[in-house]
Amino acid sequence: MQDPYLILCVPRDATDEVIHQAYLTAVHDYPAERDPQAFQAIRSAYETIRTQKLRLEYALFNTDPPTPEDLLQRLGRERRPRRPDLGLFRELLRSGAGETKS
Amino acid sequence: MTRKRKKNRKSRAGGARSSVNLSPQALEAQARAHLQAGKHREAIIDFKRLLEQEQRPEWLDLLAEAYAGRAQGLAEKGMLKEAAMIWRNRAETCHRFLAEPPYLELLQRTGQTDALLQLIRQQRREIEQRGHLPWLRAFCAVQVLAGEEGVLDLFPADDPLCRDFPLAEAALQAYCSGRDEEMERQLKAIPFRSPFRDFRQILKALSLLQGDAAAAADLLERVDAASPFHVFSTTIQASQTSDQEFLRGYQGMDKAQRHFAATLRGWSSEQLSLVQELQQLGDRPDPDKLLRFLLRNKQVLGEEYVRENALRVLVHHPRGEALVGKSLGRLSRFERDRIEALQVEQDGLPHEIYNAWSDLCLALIESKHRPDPKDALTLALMLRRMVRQWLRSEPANASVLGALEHALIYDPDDRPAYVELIRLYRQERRLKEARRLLDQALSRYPEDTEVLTEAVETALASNAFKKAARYARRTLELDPINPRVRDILVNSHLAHARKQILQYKAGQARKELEEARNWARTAATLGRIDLVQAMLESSEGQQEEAQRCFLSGFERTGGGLVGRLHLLMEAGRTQCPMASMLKQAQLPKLPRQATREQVLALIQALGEVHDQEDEEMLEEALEFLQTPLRSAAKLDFSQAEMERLCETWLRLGQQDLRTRYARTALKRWPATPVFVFHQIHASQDFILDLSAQELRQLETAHQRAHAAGDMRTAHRIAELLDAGMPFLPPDDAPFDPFDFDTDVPRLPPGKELERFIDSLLRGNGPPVIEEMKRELGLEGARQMLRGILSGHFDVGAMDDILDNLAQPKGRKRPRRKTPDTDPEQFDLF
Repeated sequence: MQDPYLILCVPRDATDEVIHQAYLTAVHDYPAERDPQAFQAIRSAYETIRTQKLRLEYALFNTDPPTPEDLLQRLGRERRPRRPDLGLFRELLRSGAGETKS
Repeated sequence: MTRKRKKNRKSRAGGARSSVNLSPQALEAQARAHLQAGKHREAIIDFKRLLEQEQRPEWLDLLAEAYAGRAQGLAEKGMLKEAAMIWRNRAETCHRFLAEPPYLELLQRTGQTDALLQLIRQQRREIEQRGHLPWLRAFCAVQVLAGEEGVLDLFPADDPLCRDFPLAEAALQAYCSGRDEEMERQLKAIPFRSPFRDFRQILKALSLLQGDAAAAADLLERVDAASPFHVFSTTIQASQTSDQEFLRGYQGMDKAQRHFAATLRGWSSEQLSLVQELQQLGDRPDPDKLLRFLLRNKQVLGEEYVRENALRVLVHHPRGEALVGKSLGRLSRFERDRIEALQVEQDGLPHEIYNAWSDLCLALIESKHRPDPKDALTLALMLRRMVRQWLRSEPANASVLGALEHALIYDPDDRPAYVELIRLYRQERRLKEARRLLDQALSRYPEDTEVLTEAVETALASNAFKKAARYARRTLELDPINPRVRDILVNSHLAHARKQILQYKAGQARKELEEARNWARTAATLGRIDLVQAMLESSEGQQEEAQRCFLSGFERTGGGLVGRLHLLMEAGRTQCPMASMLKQAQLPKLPRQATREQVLALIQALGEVHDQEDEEMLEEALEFLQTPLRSAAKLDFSQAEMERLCETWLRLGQQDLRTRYARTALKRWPATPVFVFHQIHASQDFILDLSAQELRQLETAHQRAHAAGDMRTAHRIAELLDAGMPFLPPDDAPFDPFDFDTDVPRLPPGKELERFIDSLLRGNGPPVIEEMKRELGLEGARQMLRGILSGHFDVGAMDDILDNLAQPKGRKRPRRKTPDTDPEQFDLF
C-alpha cells in the first residue's frame, strides 16, 4: 500500500479538515471516469487517514515498508521548477535535436 | 566478449558457406527474405555475392536499401560512427548520393560539424534538387540555434532561415530571462512557413507550462514526430508526467535531455542522484538495502519520515535494529515492543500475539505518570487489535471480553466495538452482559440500525419475542430494506410458531405463520415458512395439505440437497421424526450422485444453518444425504472449492466425507499442505496416533505451507504434529496426572474429547484415573482431564476446580482465561 499522506500530499500532522480538502482537490484532479486507478488510490488513502483515530491506527499498525514510488514522491516533494537556461537549450539542440524519424 | 565474437564469426562464415552453395535464384530468394525480415546484415552479404556474379541494377537498389536499414539499426542502438560508416559504404558500393538527411544527421550527432558544413556546401544544389530543402532548412535551424552560426553562410541572406533566425534567437533569449512579453512579440513575427515554426510552438508551450498545462500539452502535440525539434516536445512532456512515469522515461534519456527535463521538473542534482540510487534498489527492494537507503538519506527525506518508515522495515527485518539505533538513536521500549508485537503477528501463535500486545499495553500504562487522551486512544486501539487477532482463530473468553470492555472505557465512542462486544457476549450466552452493553449502545446510538439489529438478536436470544419484534419494527422504519432484520423477524415468528406446534396450539401457530409471511420477501424464506406449515398440517392430520406444503417448501428453499436439508432440519426443530417426514413429503427421488452445483449450494446452506443449530440435529440430517455426498467427492471442484468443502466437513465433524474429499484433492493437487492436513487429521481417532509416514508427510507439508505464506495451515499442522507425540510417557517415567511439567499432548476440544474422557472415567480405568476419581470425585476428575487434554491446565486451576466443586449446584463456576491476562491490569487512569 502506498503512503496515504503522500498520495493526498498532506503533512503527517494534518488535521481532519486539511485532509478532507486535500481529498476533494485530488478527486477533482483525478475523477473516477478519467483515471479510475488514481481515483481508487486517492479514495483508499482518504479512508485510511481521514480521522485522528484512523491516523493513529495507521501509525501503530501499518507494517508496509515504503515503496520506491513513495520514496520517489517524498524525494520530489520539494520541487522548484525552473526555466532551462540558454546553455541547457544549446546542449539539447546539439545532442538530441536534429535527429528525425525516417 | 571473445566468445561472442567467435560465435559471430562462425555464424557469418556459416552464412557465407551456405550462400556459396546456393544457385543465383535461391540466393536471390534468400536475400529478399532476409531484407523483408529486417536481417539487413545477412541481406547485404547475399546481395553483394549476387552482384559479384552480375551487376543487375535491381540488386544494387536492394543492396542500397539493405545498407540504409543496417545504418538505421546501428544508429538506433547508439552506434553512430558505425552507422555513418555504413552510409559511406552504401554511397561507394551502390553509387548512391551521400548527403542524404540521415547521413547529415549522423555527422551532426557525432560532432563532425566541419565535415557536415563542407558536405552541405558541396552538395547544396543536389540536396535542393532532391526536394530536401525544407528538411535542410529545419535541420540547419537546429544547428544555428545550437550555436553553429556558420550554417547561415550556406544560404542566401534572403532565405527564410537567415531571415527568421534573429527572431527565434531573440525569443529564446527572452524566454530564458523570463521576459515573456518580449518572447511573444518575437514569436509572433516568425511566419507560419518558417523553418523555426516548430521551435515557436515549443517556446510558447514552455511559457504556458506553469499557468495552463493543458494548452501547453496541445501545442507540444502539434510538433510532428519527424521534426528536428521533436526531441524538445518529448523531453518537456516527460518532465510533466507522474513520478513513476518520469522515472521510467528518465532511463531512456541522454544526458542533455535529463538535465533539461529535471530543470523543468524542479529536481536538484542531489535529488536526481538519489533517484538513480533508488532505481538501483528495484521494484521490491531488499529490506536491508531499503533500510540503509533510508538512513543514508535521512537529511533529504526528513528524519521523522525516515524514523517512521525505518521502524516499519524493522518489522520485516529485525536484524536492522542496531543500524537504526546507530543512525536515529536508541529505540524506546514502546517502539521496540510495538515492532516485536507486529513481528509476532507475522508468524506467532495466537497466545504469543495476544501476550505481545498485552505487554505493549502494560508498557504504555507503566510509562505514563500523567496519561493524556491520546494515550487512552492508543491503548483502546491496541486492546482491540489484541482481541481481534485472538478472535481470528480462537474463541472468546473472559480475558478477551474484559480487554474489549477496557477498550470501550478508553474510547467510548467506538460504535463497532459495542456491536462486537454485544455479539460476543451473546455467543457466549452471557446475556446479562450483552443487555448491559446494549443499553449503553442504545443510549448513545438510539437510531443506529446495526445496534438495533443487535437489540433484536439479543432479545431473541433471551426468548423475548415481543421485544425483538418491537426492535425489528423500529429498525425497518429506519431502514425498510434491511434484509437481515426481516430474516430475524421471520425467524422469530417461526420460532414462536414451532413452540405453539409443540404445545398443540394450532391456532396460535397459524397466526404466527401468517405474521411470518407478512415479513417474508424472498422465495427461500417463504419456503421455510411452508415447511413449518407442513409440520403443523402433519401434526393436525391434514396429510394432503402437509404434502402440498412440503413440496412447495422443498422447491422454494432450493430443491435438491438444500431443499432436503431444510426439510430435515425443520422436522428436527419441531421434534418430528426426520425419516417419516421425508417419507411423507414424497419428494422427487434423489440421484445417487449429486451435481457440483447442488453440493456447493448445500455447503452454502450448511454455513448459514450451522451457526444457529444444534450440532446433533445437523449431524442427523446429514446422515440422510451421505450417499450423494460421498460419490460427489470425485466431481470437478476447483482447489478453492475443495478446501471449502473440507473445512465444512471439519466444522460439522463429518470425518468420513472429509477424508474422501481430501484424498481426492490430493490426487489432483499432490502434496498440497491443506489437503495433507485434512486427510491425516480426519483419519485420527480420539487419541492422535500418527505413523512415521504421516509424520514425514506433515513435516513436509508444514515446510511447504510456511514457505507459501499459508500460516493458518502451517499452524494447524504444527499443532497436529505437537499433539501427535506419543500420549503416554516412556515406561521409565510413569504417567502422573499431577505432574504439570510433563509435556502432555493436546486433543481438539469438542465432542471427541468428551467421549474420550467418558471412556477413561467409565468402569475400572487405569490406576492413575481411579486415584484422580478418588481425590477429586467424578466431576473434578472430568474437569481435570479436560484441562490436561485440551492443554489448558495449570496448577492454579486446581484451586478453581476444588472451589467450584465446593459451590452449590446451579451456580456457574468462574470461567478460566486462556490468555493469562487480568483485564484489570489495563487500567490507565
